Amino acid sequence: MTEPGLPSSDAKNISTSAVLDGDEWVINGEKFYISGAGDPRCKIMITMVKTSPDAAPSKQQSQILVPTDTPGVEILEGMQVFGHDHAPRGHMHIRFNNVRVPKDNLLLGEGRGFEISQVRLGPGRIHHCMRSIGKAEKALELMVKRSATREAFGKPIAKLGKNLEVISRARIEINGMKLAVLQAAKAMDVLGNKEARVYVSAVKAMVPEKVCLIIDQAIQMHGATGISQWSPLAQMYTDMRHLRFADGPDEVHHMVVGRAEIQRYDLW
Amino acid sequence: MSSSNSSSASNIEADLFNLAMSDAAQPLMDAVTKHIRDNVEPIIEEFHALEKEKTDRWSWHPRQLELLEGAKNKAKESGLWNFFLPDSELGEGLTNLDYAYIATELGKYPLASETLNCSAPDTGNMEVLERVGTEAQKEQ
Repeated sequence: MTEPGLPSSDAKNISTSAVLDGDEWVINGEKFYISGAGDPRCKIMITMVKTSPDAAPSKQQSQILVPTDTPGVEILEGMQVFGHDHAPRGHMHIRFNNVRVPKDNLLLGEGRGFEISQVRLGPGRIHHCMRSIGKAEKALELMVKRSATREAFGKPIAKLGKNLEVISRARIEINGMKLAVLQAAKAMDVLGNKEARVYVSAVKAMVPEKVCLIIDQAIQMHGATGISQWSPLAQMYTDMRHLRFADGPDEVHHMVVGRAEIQRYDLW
Repeated sequence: MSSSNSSSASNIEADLFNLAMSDAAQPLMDAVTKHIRDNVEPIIEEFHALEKEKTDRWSWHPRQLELLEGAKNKAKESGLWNFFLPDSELGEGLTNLDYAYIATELGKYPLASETLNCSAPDTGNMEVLERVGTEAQKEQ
């Protein structure tokens, strides 16, 4: 989905073009942060393109299958996340130069790209949140094991300053987040992906931000080791910080939740 | 709103607070925990150490793929594959709620999701093909 030239958080902006020429779509444009596309095992991409510029704003985009070895698919480089390129999976910067794919590679139909996104992004978002709860549990475990077993200034680190409260708050927040994520999953089961979107946005807006903070605090209790190659925490932090953009930045999800809350009172 | 509608709405509201893992999912959860202990944790260190021996950053070390494929095959042999596809013939037919418990466990271990074909962004892409793809598109 994501393009470097415009704010792709508003997906109506997406402008990589696909134009029908006989039995083929001709694709031109540029994408970045295409995660996994650097992996030699990645053989095909689902690409969001603009096929119908004259249609209503939410009916202009479509999704189309593009095999990675199609002539004109130019993988320029791996984008970095805080200096790491996560090779070989990568987050790739890709240019499409007159890329031709068969007409039948279009998914579902012209102008139905957003409709597919409603299927695609709900589950993906909540899966990220579920795994993030696991990462928070791991970070808290590391925080406790480190701070309870090393002493400084005559006490275990866990008892210095407000560290015990930091540990307590991490546990309390993880418990709350876990319940919210479970409920969003339940909402998808009983209401369907579309109706559950406010629940999903709520956890996507909350979880990565709060888990970032918990990992950051675990890092702090490890001392310099926390930011080093000797601890998984540094990598966990950058992955989690990246997640505040993946599948929509926090702000877009707050927009969904905030609007739904205001609509309850019928004021706008 | 009619009374029957409001009572069904309140049933749904109440159901949104039924958050226990189903009894049917518990054996699967146990199998996943065992898979992580037996097949994932033992390969993590070697997998990451191999990063330093690669000649090309943008490829995998053959031994890395061997380790991954080995763990994937063991998962498949134990019937652990594609949890993420709710109500699908291809996957376990788990609810999103049951999958939430399992994915939380997977998140604690690097590589665990991938060995069960449950990693991002693959799950979302596979779900799109499963839900809206034609047979020819799925084949591709």
